[in-house]
Amino acid sequence: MKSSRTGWFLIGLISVFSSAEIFFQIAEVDLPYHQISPELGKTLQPSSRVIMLKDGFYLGEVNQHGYLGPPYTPHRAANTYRVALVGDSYTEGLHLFEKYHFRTVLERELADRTAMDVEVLNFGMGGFNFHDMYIYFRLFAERFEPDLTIFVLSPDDFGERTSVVPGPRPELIDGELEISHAFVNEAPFRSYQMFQLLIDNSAFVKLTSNAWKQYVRGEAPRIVFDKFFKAFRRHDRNDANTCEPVILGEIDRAIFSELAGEATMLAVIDCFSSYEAAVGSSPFPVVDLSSPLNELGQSGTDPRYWSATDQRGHWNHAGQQVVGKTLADAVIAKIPTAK
Amino acid sequence: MLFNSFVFLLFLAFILPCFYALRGQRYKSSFLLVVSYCFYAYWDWRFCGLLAVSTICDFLIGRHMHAAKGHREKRALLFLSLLINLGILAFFKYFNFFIESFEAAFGVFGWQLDTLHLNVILPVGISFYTFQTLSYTFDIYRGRIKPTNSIRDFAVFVAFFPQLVAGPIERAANLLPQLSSLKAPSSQQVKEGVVLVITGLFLKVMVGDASGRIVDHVFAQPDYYSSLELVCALVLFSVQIYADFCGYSNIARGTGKLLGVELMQNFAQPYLSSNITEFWRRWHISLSSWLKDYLYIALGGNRRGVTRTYINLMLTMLLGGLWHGANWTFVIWGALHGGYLVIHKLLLQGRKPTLRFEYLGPTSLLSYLGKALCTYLLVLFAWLFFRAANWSDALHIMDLIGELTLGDYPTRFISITAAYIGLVLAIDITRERLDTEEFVWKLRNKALASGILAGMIMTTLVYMFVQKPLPFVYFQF
Repeated sequence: MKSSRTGWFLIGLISVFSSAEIFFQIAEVDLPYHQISPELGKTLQPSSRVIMLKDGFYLGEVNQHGYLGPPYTPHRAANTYRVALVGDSYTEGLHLFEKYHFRTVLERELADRTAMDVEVLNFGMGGFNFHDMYIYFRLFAERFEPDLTIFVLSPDDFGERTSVVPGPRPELIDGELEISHAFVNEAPFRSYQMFQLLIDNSAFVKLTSNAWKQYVRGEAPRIVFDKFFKAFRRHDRNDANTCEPVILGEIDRAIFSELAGEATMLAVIDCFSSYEAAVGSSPFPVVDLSSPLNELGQSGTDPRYWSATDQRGHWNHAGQQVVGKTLADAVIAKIPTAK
Repeated sequence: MLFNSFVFLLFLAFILPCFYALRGQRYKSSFLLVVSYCFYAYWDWRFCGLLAVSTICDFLIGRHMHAAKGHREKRALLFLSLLINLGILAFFKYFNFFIESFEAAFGVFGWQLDTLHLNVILPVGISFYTFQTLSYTFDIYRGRIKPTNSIRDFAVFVAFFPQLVAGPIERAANLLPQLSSLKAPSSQQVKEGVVLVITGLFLKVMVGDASGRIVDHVFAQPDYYSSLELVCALVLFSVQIYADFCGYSNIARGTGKLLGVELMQNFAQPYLSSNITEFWRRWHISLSSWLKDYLYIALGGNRRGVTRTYINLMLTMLLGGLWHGANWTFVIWGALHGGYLVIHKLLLQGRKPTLRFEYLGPTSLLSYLGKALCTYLLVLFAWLFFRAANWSDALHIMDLIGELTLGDYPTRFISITAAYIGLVLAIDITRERLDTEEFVWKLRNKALASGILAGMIMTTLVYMFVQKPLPFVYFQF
């Protein structure tokens, strides 16, 4: 009797979880779109639907090649100028629809000003730091034969990798920069592989996993106790008006040296002075995005303010326009047949 | 504190055992009063004083009104109650609205007024508790009830936390006797209370908040969305406002039951209505019945001829719209519904409206579906004005919808919208068929029902942990 009651209870529980999963998939409530590849670490699942509702609203998809935006093939056609964007969540841009993203603005601006076909590919990934960006460029973006790669970052992105997501790491071995894939033999990746089918496809599992991550980050007291809890406010790039000094690590400098001889550009999101102080004389062109964005702010349009959520976050529609046009002005000189 | 927050669940977990442990009306009532004021103070402690003033005034007015010998004195005291309550409401809610409206009106003639604008914070729940206390003085005036002699019981009636900030707007005849003789809930009340809190929280969080996130983004910046996306957002708003409000009301009723108090049902599956009159018998029942009893009937109701009936109906709906917020969009929303009701009355030509579908064959079902869809579309159109930030935004959105653009992912928007509509319809049809809101507990297999409820609360709590809770839509009123 007792076991049959327990059985029915579990049936009720599982039926709700299953129904919730079906509802989440159809209503697109927080669908999973990442995967962890043994080669690349954190990457996007090809042809997956993406929906993001945070400071902004994004609804789109990962193309069949595994990056965001139009599905340009790995092989670059003749008479095509190809730009690869590598960066973090600012580049990934899951805050507004593709057509308003600075990738689209940049592509359109360049196409208007050159006789060549222009393709801009978005390899942005939320949570990436400079090391992750370098690895993603080397192992993935480079396959798409970009004429120019733009690293879009902030001085915050320098320094040791702090992400807990398993992935390759850059290492200096006898002064040479190499990429280590030791993570594939470590427990977190092995655990992921055991449950990969669920983790990569279940919205319900993603929701639970996000709750777990929040708990592990120590956010439970703030969430549960609300006004009764005054959390220590961590540095938030979005709100901070302070630019802390940055010290480049050995690996950062090694990456700089390696990229110096290649068709690379750096676009600095904010704290340009900290970047200059840290890097000194830059080995490749640098674009200061903070100045035009600050000018936009001073003209009365905050490039990071989202009216829907009444909060500051990533670049809004106006901010994306400014970033796209600023990058276009910097890139156009590099295109051979610019008008 | 929001009902859809962990701190409220902790608050409940704390107060319920304390309430059950206390013996005697005096201690139970005093405890409820203290926790209700703590609940309100959590929003903003500064407005506890306003709540207290409103309570004391209406308590004293009620007693004097009942003791008054002449009708004139009673009427004067009634007007005093109206003046105080509506005066407070007018000041906090409508001051700037009236000033801006005067400025705009004079501006039409080219006159510029040098007026005062105040930075006034709207106290949470003021529209709700003001109407609740007014119903008390009205009912004493009409001789329907006697005033209570206990200021403490009356204070609990005004500040009773489950329904203080968002209704249901209770009548003294229903709530005061219960609060004057508080008892521990029966086991049936506890079961129903738990079911209502869980299902209410599920509806508010999983349906209301989840759909509301899309709505907020689209309505904040409509220029960046296609016609189809705007229409989908409007449909999602109809889902959001219903799930939000009905969910909240269910949590309020459930919490009331856990305290041994029965609060009135506020929603009865309104989107299943086959006509607009039926819709208003099923939507925000506590407000629509309040408006009928204290405004429509006071204006004369249907006792002064056909034309006057229609005028009274329009006035009631216009003021009902204005109750929702200090914005002309709410007045337009009220006017639209007033117009719908007048037209429906004209079409009825004295016949009684259908208030519930009765299956009499496939033809009756088809006819019902057609009428229900028409009613929904009329309500949906009016929701545009309710949700838009202002009149020009509403018109602009209509223009954008008129462009008939699809956007990049039309099928995805349609399927997302259909998923929410489908879920709400499934829940409502089940409730309607079983004639109960606690339909999960109607399952004969209680272990299965418990598992379903456990699954619902676990899913909801995980979602609440990950996503910042959205405030209740009606808090802005």
